[in-house]
Amino acid sequence: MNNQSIAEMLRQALMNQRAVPQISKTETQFSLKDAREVQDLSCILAQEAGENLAGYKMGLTSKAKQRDVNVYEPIRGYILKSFEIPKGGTVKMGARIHPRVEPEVAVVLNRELKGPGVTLRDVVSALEGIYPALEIVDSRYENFVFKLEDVIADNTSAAGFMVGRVNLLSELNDLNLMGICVRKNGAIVETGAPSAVLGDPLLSVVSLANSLAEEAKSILPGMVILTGGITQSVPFKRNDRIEVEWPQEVLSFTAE
Amino acid sequence: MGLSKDQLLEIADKLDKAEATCIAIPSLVENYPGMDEKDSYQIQWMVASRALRAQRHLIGYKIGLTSLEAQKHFNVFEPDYGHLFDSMAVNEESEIYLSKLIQPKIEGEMAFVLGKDLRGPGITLSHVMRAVDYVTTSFEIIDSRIQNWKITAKDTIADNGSSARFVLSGQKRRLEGLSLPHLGMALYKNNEVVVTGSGAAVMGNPLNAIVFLANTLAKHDRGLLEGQVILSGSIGGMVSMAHGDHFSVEIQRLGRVTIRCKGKSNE
Repeated sequence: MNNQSIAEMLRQALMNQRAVPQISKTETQFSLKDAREVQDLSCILAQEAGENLAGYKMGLTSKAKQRDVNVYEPIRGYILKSFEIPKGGTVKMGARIHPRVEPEVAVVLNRELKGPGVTLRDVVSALEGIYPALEIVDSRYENFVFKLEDVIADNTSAAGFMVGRVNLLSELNDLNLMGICVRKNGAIVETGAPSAVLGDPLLSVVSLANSLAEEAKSILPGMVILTGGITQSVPFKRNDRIEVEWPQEVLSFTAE
Repeated sequence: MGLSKDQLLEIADKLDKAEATCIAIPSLVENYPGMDEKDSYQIQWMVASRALRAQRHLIGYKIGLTSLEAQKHFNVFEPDYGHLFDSMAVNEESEIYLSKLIQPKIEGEMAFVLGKDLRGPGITLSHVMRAVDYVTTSFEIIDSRIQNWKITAKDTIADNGSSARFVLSGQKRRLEGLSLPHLGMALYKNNEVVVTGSGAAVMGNPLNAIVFLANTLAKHDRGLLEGQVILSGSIGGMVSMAHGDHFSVEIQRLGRVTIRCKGKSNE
């Protein structure tokens, strides 16, 4: 299969909620470069179908996960406006394969940030807002099993996101040690703090700006940037109630 | 069923010796199939009484199995506890000597120091809030005296909650104005964040662990005393330790603790 066909297959898997076999199993020559190209092609396909780009999401944002796959920088995916779930809304299980949820910090900038050479200081000076958020990941591969090339081609499992309304910008100094917990049907299943993301989730934005620069792209003002999972992802099923509790705000949804 | 007095003494001897020699012993429950949880606590108290007779001072208690995950893993429905002696205290900004340990692991916790006695039964959250003098950041170093950490809840209870050392931050915070479940923690190994969590990981609120401890001790006619230290339970996971590693743990508003590891453990 060429990269265009793979991109179409993965787009179909997203649209039809049907898992597909790992690309790397059949395409033995499939490289990281191919994977990035497939991701870009699937983004173009989505936009040709009338979808709008909402922003980006980051993955592999902990040293432990990076060591697991022997890749020492984060990876990125794109998020579409149609992925957004309203606060307190429902997640339709009919439109998912095997979804999981993770708490994240969402960042919005007030001006364009274009690499290379973007620093933490550049990010701080461009901050419009920092919001409690959650991401829903849902691999298009069978059993949520994949290699690095597969997951990059599959847009890093991006499937949904919810952004809170409380802007944490005035509490920037406290951000990294805010206590966050994930409840499933009332029971606490995960806790964490934003420093789980590269020690500081704003470093994830630095990494994103510089990696986009390699393709002459940039972070645009108003885009939502999901900086990376703060805890392990939590699987959920129909009728599960998920709450991501920040000190300032609770983000919740029910799976239907 | 339960074990005989002789068997309890025999196990207490074995655990004492394992700690002194740093040579782990085989699983207790496998070798003493009749052992129940009551036996486990009796063994723990036997070992603790010997420590007291050896002029060690009881500093306080540690609480364990405080997360849903840990309770599920050990198939129990309540936490456990262990005794803290002065011989287990290590100063912050100093060294932990791994050569005195077997297979140590480190965890970040909220530690509480009591300003009043707390004696159950009938202790509630409000009693605990009135009795706590201050809260601070701490490390607990756990170290199973049972081979390869192959333990059940009964093993770890007999083995003093697998507790080995603890380190308190010198920073004190009163409870007023703190929402403990919402305080985040980051544990660093050699400057890299390896574990994060929040106070909510400990029974939804670490003060709930103290409620449990006070009421459980009361069943055996014991109370908590002014000045005693309570390690309330692990926030997030545990991390293994090796020579040359240094660890820091920071909890929002409660401060930071740092220690360095020296020597080779006896695993």
